Amino acid sequence: MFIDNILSTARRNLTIQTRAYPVHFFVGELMSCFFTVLSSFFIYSIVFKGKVSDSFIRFSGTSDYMSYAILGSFMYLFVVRTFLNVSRSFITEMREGTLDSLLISPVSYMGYLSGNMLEQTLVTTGELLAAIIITSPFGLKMPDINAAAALLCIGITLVSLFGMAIILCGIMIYLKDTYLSQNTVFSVMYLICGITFPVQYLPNWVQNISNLIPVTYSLRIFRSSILAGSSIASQAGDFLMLAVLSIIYFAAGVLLINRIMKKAPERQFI
Amino acid sequence: MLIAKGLKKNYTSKVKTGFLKSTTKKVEAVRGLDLTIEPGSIVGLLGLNGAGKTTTIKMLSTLLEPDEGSCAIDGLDLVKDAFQIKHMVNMIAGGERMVYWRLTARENLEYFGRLYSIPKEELKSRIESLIRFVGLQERSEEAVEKYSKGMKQRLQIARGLINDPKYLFMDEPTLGLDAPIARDLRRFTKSLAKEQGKGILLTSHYISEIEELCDYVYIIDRGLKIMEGTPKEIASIVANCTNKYKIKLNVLPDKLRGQFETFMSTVQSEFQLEEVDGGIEIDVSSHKDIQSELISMLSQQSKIISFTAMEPKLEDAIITLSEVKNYEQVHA
Ligand SMILES: Nc1ncnc2c1ncn2[C@@H]1O[C@H](COP(=O)(O)OP(=O)(O)OP(=O)(O)O)[C@@H](O)[C@H]1O
Ligand SMILES: [Mg+2]
Repeated sequence: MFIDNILSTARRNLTIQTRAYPVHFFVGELMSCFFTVLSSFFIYSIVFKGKVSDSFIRFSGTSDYMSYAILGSFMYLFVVRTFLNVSRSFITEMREGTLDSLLISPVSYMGYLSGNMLEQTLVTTGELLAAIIITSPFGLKMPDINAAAALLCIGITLVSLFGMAIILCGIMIYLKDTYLSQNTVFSVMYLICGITFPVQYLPNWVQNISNLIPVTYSLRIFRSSILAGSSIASQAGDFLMLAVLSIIYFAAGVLLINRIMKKAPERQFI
Repeated sequence: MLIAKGLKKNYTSKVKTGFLKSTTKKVEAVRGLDLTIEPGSIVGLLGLNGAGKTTTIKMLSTLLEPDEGSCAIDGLDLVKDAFQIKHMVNMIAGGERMVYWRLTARENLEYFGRLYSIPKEELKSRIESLIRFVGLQERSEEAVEKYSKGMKQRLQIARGLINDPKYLFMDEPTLGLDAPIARDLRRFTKSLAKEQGKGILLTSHYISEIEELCDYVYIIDRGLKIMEGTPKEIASIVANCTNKYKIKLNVLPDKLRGQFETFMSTVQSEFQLEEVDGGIEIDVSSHKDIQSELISMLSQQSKIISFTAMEPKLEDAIITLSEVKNYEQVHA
């Protein structure tokens, strides 16, 4: 039942995306990934003349700024794509006039959303492979990777992204807005979660906010596992925080979406 | 059997009063509606724009939760047993929405079918027969966005039948369809009720459609039921509510004019006079059938060039009925 909802929704999305897949969107995402890395490269080679400061090494635990930036852009690709598409799913149904036929059926909200997440994770994994190739000229170096820690990090990160996406999905339905909500969220995350520079450079009060966003922990663990080979045990604190935040966001998302979707049909034409 | 009692639904919406200011506005869309649908029968729901037809249908199809009142469908409660009820009901609305434009007809039906957890083999054969039923065999592998309006509408009908609902709610299903397709749809609706024993609720703006299809009719106005009965009863009341005549005379002498005006006021009817080429045109609108009286009075002192009795309009009848209802309420 629930599984059927997930699989059929994932399959439906895959059909839509592969049929009328907006190629320019795919290319656009990869380009933005490329340019994020490219701009980091310029800052690194022109502003810092190829030398990172001691504070960067202290904060990030690596002196390889380019690998640091590339991994940040990979994570951001995942954040944007899964977050964006899952959170927009219900409001897209609303705009395209299919929300009624969906909600009239015995669909499970979470089954439906999980299907969207599953499909988007698969597609983004494909995009990630392309991104790895595109950014290869900048030389990602993984001298000492701890694969177990990196994989566990990705797993929990997906749960946290899903939880946040569900919350944003509810907010979008409530505000009937996609543009403002999603752009605010993405700009804020780009700036304060440590995508291109360590969060320690930010003012303390901003860091406090960063510490409430799971992506901050994900990035730290991801880089440390790949660049410095840190083990799960040695990052237990960060893993714990990431897991706790994921559970909180996920639970909040489930509670919120059930309440908001119940009222969604009557908010449709306001 | 579907039995609804005292259904009520209010909408609250925000009304902008300034850049950042807004107040909430309450609309009482449905104000205590009783309604019964028996399996195998077609029930009509008539009303002017904004009467609350769509709201009623959305409540019955579990999309909106009623604020007050209750509804039992084959003994199940509309709100508490919503999940089971979803398997027993479906809705078809006029227009081209409610299906995925980027999927093919078959993919649409597959997706919706799986949401209803219909077993694979059964779903497959049901999709085949539905596609044939709505005549989309040749285009079933094409994306819906390439369909014409009528084809999209037909696919929507197939979607509404995918779970083989026992009760089907149709909200202006012939909206925007060509006459022949609308006729097909009416025939088809009839067979769903009479041959497959489905209980159907149908809204429409067309009295002829209602007369042709429905076994029983409810007329609602601003969320309240103002009348119910068989289409025959409704039609005769409609006919009685709004008699309109268009008369052309060659002359209207003062004496006849006086006589005519007195008669009009005794039967409480309205009229308009207009001098036209070669005579005088009179438009009469009356709550009573005064055709023979008019003819005999006018033909005595003038020559009637033409006399047309206009077909009664449902809209006029509803307006009249609701005026009467308001009057009764105020003077009760
Ligand atoms: N989502 C909504 N939010 C606020 N008010 C609404 C909403 N939907 C409908 N209304 C209001 O509720 C009343 C009843 O609307 P409804 O759509 O049920 O009428 P209807 O009989 O279907 O009309 P029509 O013949 O135009 O389709 C109207 O006054 C309408 O403006
Ligand atoms: Mg309507």
